[in-house]
Amino acid sequence: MDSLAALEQESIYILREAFSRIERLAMLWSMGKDSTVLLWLARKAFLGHVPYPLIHIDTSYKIPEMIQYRDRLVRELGLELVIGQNTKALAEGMNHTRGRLVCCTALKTEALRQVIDQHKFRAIIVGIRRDEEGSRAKERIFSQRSRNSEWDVSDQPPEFWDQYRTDFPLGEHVRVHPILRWTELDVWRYIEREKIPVMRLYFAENGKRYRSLGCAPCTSPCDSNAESVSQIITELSATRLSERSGRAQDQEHSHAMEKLRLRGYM
Amino acid sequence: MTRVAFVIVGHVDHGKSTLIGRLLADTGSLPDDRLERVRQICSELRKPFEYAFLLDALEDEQLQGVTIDITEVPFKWLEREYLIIDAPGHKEFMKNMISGAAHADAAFLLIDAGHGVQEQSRRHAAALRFFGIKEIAIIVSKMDQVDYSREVFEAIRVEYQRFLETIDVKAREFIPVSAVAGENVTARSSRMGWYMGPSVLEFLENLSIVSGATSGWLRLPVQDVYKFDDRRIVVGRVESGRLSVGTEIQVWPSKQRACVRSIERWPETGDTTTWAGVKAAVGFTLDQQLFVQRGDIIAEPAHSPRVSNFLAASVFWFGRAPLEPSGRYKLKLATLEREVEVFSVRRVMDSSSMEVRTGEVGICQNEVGDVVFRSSRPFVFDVANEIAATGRFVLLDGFEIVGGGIVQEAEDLYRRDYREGLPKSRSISPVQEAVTPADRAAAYGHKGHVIWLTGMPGSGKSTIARALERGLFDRDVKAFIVDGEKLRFGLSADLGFTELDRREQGRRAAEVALLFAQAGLVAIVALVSPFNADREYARILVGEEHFTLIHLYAPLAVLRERDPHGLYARAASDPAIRVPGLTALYELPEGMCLGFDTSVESIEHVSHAILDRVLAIIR
Repeated sequence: MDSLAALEQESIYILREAFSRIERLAMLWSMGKDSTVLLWLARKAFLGHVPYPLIHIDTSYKIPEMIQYRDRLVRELGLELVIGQNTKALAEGMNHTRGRLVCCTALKTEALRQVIDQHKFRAIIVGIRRDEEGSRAKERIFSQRSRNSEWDVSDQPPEFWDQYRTDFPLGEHVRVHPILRWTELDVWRYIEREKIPVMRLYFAENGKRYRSLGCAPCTSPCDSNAESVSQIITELSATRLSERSGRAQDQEHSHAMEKLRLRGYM
Repeated sequence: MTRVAFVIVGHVDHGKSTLIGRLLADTGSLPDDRLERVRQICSELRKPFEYAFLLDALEDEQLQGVTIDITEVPFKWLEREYLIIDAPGHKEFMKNMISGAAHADAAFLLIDAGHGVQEQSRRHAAALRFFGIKEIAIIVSKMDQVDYSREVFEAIRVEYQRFLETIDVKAREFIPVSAVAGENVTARSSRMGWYMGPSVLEFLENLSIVSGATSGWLRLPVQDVYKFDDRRIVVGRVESGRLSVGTEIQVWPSKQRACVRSIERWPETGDTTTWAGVKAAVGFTLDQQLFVQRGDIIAEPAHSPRVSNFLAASVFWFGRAPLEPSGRYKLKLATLEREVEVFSVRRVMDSSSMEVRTGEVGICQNEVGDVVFRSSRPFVFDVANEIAATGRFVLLDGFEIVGGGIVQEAEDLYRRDYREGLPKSRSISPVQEAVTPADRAAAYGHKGHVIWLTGMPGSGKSTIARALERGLFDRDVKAFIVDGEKLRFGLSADLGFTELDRREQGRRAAEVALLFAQAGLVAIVALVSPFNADREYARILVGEEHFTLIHLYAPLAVLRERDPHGLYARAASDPAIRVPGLTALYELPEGMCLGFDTSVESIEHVSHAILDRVLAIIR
């Protein structure tokens, strides 16, 4: 078994553990490459089925092609989709000019919290990876969140021998991270090996492509000529820039992502 | 090609994160903007560039200058991929250190040249050994601060090597390093010309990875059973051996057998391999409708796992509250979960000072102890040195994981457990016997054996025991009854009828029966023995092949009418009288056992059935 197959098998094992141990389960789906791989892994784990709803947190500022792609896939695969949106904040005119962290907290963190409360979800499967940024590198595969979705990073439970924390007090929930150990390159190599369709936005057009997808105002494309998955793999093997360098909220200040994530951001 | 995971451990401030930062920087594994980010943070904090910040990403870690939790960073060097696991060195963060170390293939343990061997230097080595990491290299760090002195390096090497020997750990290398100056990290140092061994990266290049213990026998702990459509698909991960279409498997503890009909995959047009190997998360169907559930273990029929209500293990404890000698915990072994009770704690050792305590003691944080657990329902498991993945478990107290355990050879541990207090027993056991069991069997015409009759009072144990004794005697088999009353008037005169005393009574009966069996006789034990665990204890003590368990029963009305000792009559008027099965617990036997309803079947029929069975074994 090579390292990619080992990662795949581990992720399938984790998805099945979550499904077996936790009653009310949902998977966060941003339509990006990581969530796309996660959806593919779920269909592998459950033999073609997706036995839980997907959640899309719609900030209303997403790149329009992302929404079209979402609706098409839901139709084609017969997925159960829950859309989370902080309509109150949007009605009050929330946007990134009020401060990126303020905006992310209101439109993503808070919207997710509302969905979890409303549907009484006890576990949310999220496609984050350790190599994305520093605070995610510190994550557990099963990572507990308090009643207010807060993350206590200073006192995380032990996790070893593939024994995950699947029991926790009522009212709290757990974030399940099946692809935590994957790297950006692993994700693209897997997309290539499995021939998984991904959004056009990842491929270069006029010398630019998106390396990471988010809200339109806070996501910028990078210089690239990679027009195919294999060209992306070649490009990433040589790059000197990190994956999320085009994501404005990360650059806001030194520990921006950590601060967002302590409050429940994905 | 697989990714080699290695963990960096050692006492706090001995330079772990700095070494990793240096490794990443020197191998060109860091994006420019991430380096720039650290430069910016360091200037905000008015500090010189801090390699450690590349990993210690949390704000608290950077402000306090400590690693709180593990980080994993992949990097590539000369065509091989690695995963660096940075683990915290503080004693309070031991549980985090283990979370990182437990899945490493290899480990670097750092010792600061200026400060020498410290508490966590020792504790971490003990933890690495416990969690099964065999490839260990010692790095004597911050050599620049001792002027690259060979004497300092040698003194640490000698002292630490001596310690490692006491815990049976063999270090592959001792490497003197200065991460700040980059000496012996990538290339060999020119400042330490006296050192002939490899640099850190050279050590990694030459590292060959051996996987954990696996006998090669099939073990597949069942994770779930899916019925999304008309297929009934069993899912689980192959932890050892291989699962192949068309071969027969056996489900434990139910012992049912079936053949693997198909391996199910999605997309269906993809992989069509007819087998799955170690670490494969597999879904498959069987050719028979068996009742299979999460926690069962699927094995090949020729090599079965062990089944017992007792589990003997070495436990690493990191709970804030100690493991209590009679505490109750939840135990998770592969996909099995059981409520367990601590049956005994034999021996406890501090993982740093290696100080040992014995007697009925608890296990405190960061101590290792030998523990026997028991559960009312049996465990299915392997011994860790035979199959690692089904020979280890975690313990939970409430929602918290508070310890990890490695399964030891149960039989040895039981015997040691009870005989630890008798220093002479060790010197007695190895003495050559003048007459062997084979000599006795040849002379008597049969082997020794134990027939264990269990059942509620009045179920017919004594009557059947007498019929068996007569029947065996008439067939030239040397037999003798060990019954509850006989023991209670003599050997067990000090015991009452509390649960603890009943358990001890069971243990003594088992030991006495064992002596008779060793003498070549057939011992017939007639004892209520209400607890499964105690009957299983006897089975383990005597040995499966020399032990036959019989359960006698009858409807309660019949038992009341028989009432040989007037127990039911007394219990009716005195609530303080505890009758197993009526006012106290009587656990129905599980596992290998013959059962007879003595209200329906005659004494002759029951005793003949038992005689036939036992004679076939002992002759």
